[in-house]
Parts: sequence; C-alpha cells; structure tokens
Amino acid sequence: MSGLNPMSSARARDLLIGIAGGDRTAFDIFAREVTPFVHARVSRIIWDQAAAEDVTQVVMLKVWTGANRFNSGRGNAFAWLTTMCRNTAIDHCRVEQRHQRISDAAKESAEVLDDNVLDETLAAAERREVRIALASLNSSQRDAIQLAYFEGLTYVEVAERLGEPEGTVKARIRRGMIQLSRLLGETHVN
Amino acid sequence: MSTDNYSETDDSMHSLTGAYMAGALSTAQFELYEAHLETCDSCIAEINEMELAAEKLFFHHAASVPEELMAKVLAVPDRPHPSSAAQSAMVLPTPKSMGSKSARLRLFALAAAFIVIVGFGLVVNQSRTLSRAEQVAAMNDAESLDLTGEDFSIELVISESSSSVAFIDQEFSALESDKAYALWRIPVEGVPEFLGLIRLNDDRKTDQAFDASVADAAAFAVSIEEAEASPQAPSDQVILVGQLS
Ligand SMILES: [Zn+2]
Repeated sequence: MSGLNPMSSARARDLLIGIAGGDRTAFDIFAREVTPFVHARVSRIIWDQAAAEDVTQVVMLKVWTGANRFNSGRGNAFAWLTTMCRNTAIDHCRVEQRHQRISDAAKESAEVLDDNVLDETLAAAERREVRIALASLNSSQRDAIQLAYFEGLTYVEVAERLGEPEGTVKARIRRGMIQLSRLLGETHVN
Repeated sequence: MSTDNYSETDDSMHSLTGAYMAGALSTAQFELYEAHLETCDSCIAEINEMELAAEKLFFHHAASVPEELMAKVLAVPDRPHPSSAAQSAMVLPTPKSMGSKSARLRLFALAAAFIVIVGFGLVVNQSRTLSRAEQVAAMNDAESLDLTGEDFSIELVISESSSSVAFIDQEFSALESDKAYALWRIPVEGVPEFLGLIRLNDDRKTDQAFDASVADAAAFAVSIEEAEASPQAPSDQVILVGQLS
C-alpha cells in the first residue's frame, strides 16, 4: 500500500519496540531513515540552522531514551514523532527566544509547501502525489492540516490563527486526514 | 496535574483522532489521548484509516543532514546493562534502606554542611538550564545511569569530560505543590553534595543539567525537599539512587 514510503507505520512501530528494549541496531536503522525528515520538520519551526540541528539531535535522543513511552501497541509512530519534533522545537524556542518560530513570522500558509529546505531524498513523483491530494481537499480542511502539519501549530493554535472554534478546526483536521488517506490510497492503487 | 487541564469527556477525546495523527496536540493532550487509545477501539480504527496520510505527510519534506549531525545522532549513550543495575542495588543502600535513620542522618548531616544557600531562588541558581546545544554537547561522551526507586525510575546522563549531569526529557512522579526534588552527588569519599533542585514543567518532565564532578562520584541520588523552605534541614526522603560502576 505504502510502497514508496521509506518506512511504514508498522515498520516504525516494530523498530521503536526494539529501541525501547535498547537495540542499537534498530535505532541506527530508524535514525538513518527518519533523521532527514525530523530535521526538515524542526527546521520549519526554528529559523536558525545550527539550532535546528541541535534540536534534531535532541529529538533523536528522545527517541532513544523515550521509545519505551511510545504507546507501541496502539499508537502511531509518526504521530508520536511529529508531536515530539514540534514540542521539542517549541520548548527550545521558549528557552532561546531569539530563535523565532516560523509561524510567528509573516509566512503565508500558501508558501508552506515550498521546497526551500528540501533535498531530493524523496522522489518528486511522491511529493507531487501528496500535493495533488492536498489540493483535492476542500480549502478549509487543507488550511487546517497545512497549518498544523507544516507550520507546527497545535489544533488549538490553528483555531486561534483562523479565528474559528476549536471544535470546528478539530473536525476539519479529522475529516481532512481521513480524506487525504483515501485519496493517497487511490493514487497508489492506480 | 497537567492532565487536569484536559479532563475532556470521552466524546471530545474521540474527536482528537485527526489532530493526533497530524501531530497537532500539545504534549499533555498527546499523552492523555494515548491513554484514551488504550481502551478505545473506535479511535484505533479511525487512526488506522488516517495512517497513510500521516506517513505521507511525515515523509513529504526532507532536509539534508550533515555528516557530523548524523554522527552525533547515532552516538547515543549506552544503556546500562540490566545486570549492572541489579549489582548497583546490591552494593548501594536501596532508597528504602537509605531511609533508615543512621544512613539517612549520615548522608544528610554531611550534605547539610554544603548547603549554605537558603531559599528556592538561590538554590535554583546552583544549577543552570543548559541550552539545547550545551545539553547535547554534554551527551557526546556521556553514559546514562538509572536512578531507581520504589515508585519510579529515571535516567541521568553523566558526562565526565564536561563535569556535568543532565536529565533529558525525564518524567517524575507527582509531588505535593510545596515539595521539590533535589539532586545529590555522593562521592567515593567525603560528603554528599547538593547539586540543586529539579525544576519540572507542567508535564512533570525536565531537561535540566547540573555541574557535577563525575570522576569521584560513587552515586547520584534524588530526595524530596521543601520547595520553599530552606533545605538546611533535609528531609528523610531519598527516593531514587543510582550507583556508578
Ligand atoms: Zn476514542
């Protein structure tokens, strides 16, 4: 199903179970695959490149020391990792206030999908597939997901940003994520 | 407790599936939601429906990782082997036996001699919140030491070369609001050294580093102290101990 992905949720979960047990090889495999994506995620929240690298390292350290706290039976590995990237970066911003969050800057959500921090690790076709799927969502769902995922806002912050009730935003992200999965599943089948 | 802020009904928990999968929950919300997942099959079914989106979004953006960064990422500290933890427990007084009066008095009478600063604010100044960079730098030659007790255990990262120790994202048990955890260095010879009070965030977690001579340390310990009062009269509650090999 997710053939082009570097790693599926199930594979990530298996590796995290190994990491929780102190398996260095599992950590090596996991770290080599996900660090570029952790780094990209952190870099979207922290301007300063050196600081973003430090925080990336801290996130991966938390993977090593905190994998036992991942709800491996039922939780999703990428939800856990994404949340940890965001919250670690935000914690860093609180300590080092000179590094402003990108979301505080005048950055329009329309620019969110720019490729500035990307390298060519992922196939262009794969990224295009995600863009097309995002573009197929209705605009309110797309905006909510983009603000949450690409600008690192919590749904509560998305609601504040959009001036919408939290419940509305929560529902949009929920429907949008389901719809996005369906669209991406269809493109894989085709 | 942080979770009190999110004592949401089950109905509102069910509606967090999307925010959970989009990484759009705060740490406290995330942990509460994962606890909800333990018992909610309908949420599990729904997050499984969103799995492909979470994967694709996560792997949508990559940033190049310099070789030095990858080397640092891979150089995580060794975990203590389970058998060495068992050995520690035998050699060093357990937290419970540390609570026995003679051991306790010896430890704290000596420790108290070091505590000349009174008041929460001044004591806090003895430790410093390392920047992430410093924290990470401290990790490079570091080893982790399990501090174990009856109720919970945490990891302390110790770095001999930088003469520092640090907690990285460690979660402590809840304390009464007028209490605080304190970190102690117990040297091979001589008196225990008070390293500082441990500052916890709303999730009872800390990323905090302390200056500490590791070379001549026999153990590190955590006690419960009065948060506001002077720690000149230390409490008898040593709750976590980890011995160095
Ligand atoms: Zn539920």
